[in-house]
Amino acid sequence: MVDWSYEFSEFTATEKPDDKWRRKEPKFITTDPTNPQVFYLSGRYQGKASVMQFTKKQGNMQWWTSFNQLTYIQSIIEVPGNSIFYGCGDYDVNDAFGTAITTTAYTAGIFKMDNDGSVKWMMTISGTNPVSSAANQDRCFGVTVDNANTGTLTALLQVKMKEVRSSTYNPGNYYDTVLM
Amino acid sequence: MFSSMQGLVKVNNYHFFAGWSYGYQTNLQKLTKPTTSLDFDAYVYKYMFNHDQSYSCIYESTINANTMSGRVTLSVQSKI
Repeated sequence: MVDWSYEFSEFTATEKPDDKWRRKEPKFITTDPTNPQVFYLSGRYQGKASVMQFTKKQGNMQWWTSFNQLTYIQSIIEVPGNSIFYGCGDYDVNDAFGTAITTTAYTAGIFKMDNDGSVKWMMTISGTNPVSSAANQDRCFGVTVDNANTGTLTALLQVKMKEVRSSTYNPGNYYDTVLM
Repeated sequence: MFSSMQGLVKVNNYHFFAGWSYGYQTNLQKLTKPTTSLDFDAYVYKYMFNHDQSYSCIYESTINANTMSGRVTLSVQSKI
């Protein structure tokens, strides 16, 4: 038996098919360690990285937070016994549809949220591609709590920024992995 | 190297990170794949910060904390 269903419909019927407002990519469903009545859906909606809270019983949306400086959410994690959670992803700087995903510019972003939908902080991480003619591409694909007591995190970055890559390995226009 | 979505977990003192690449090279192994016909493989690495250098397997370098901090910008609330 289906208790409820939820459809994310088009923003409008008149916009161009490639308009960013139509871009939606649901990615993660996560729970709330402090509130068993709700769950979170995170991903991309109306072109922006988004986190939504729904009630489990009725499927009602409680709140929706969208990010101006984040396009994709690539990772989201709960903190056991806590109402806060962390996430990360990347921002398609130019938001240029038609630009191949391999050549568009990205900055990485990491954020902290509370279960009332408020964003406590957000940081962006970016640098310069060692090949000047190529796009700057710095992205974040993972975040984990390193120490819950001290509130320290570890982030998994996929970067091209020359500023932090070792010259020993002759960095070029390819991705290196950074744990921060 | 490409990283996978939700590609990082920590278990005790170890970080595990996953992704995909065409070929790889460590201090102990090397696998070469043609760049003209990409053939990707998945990977999972197990890593410990501040490990004994005698256990070093992957090519790695420590990033200066100030250098890394210089690439990080804390967004003001109104722009988030």
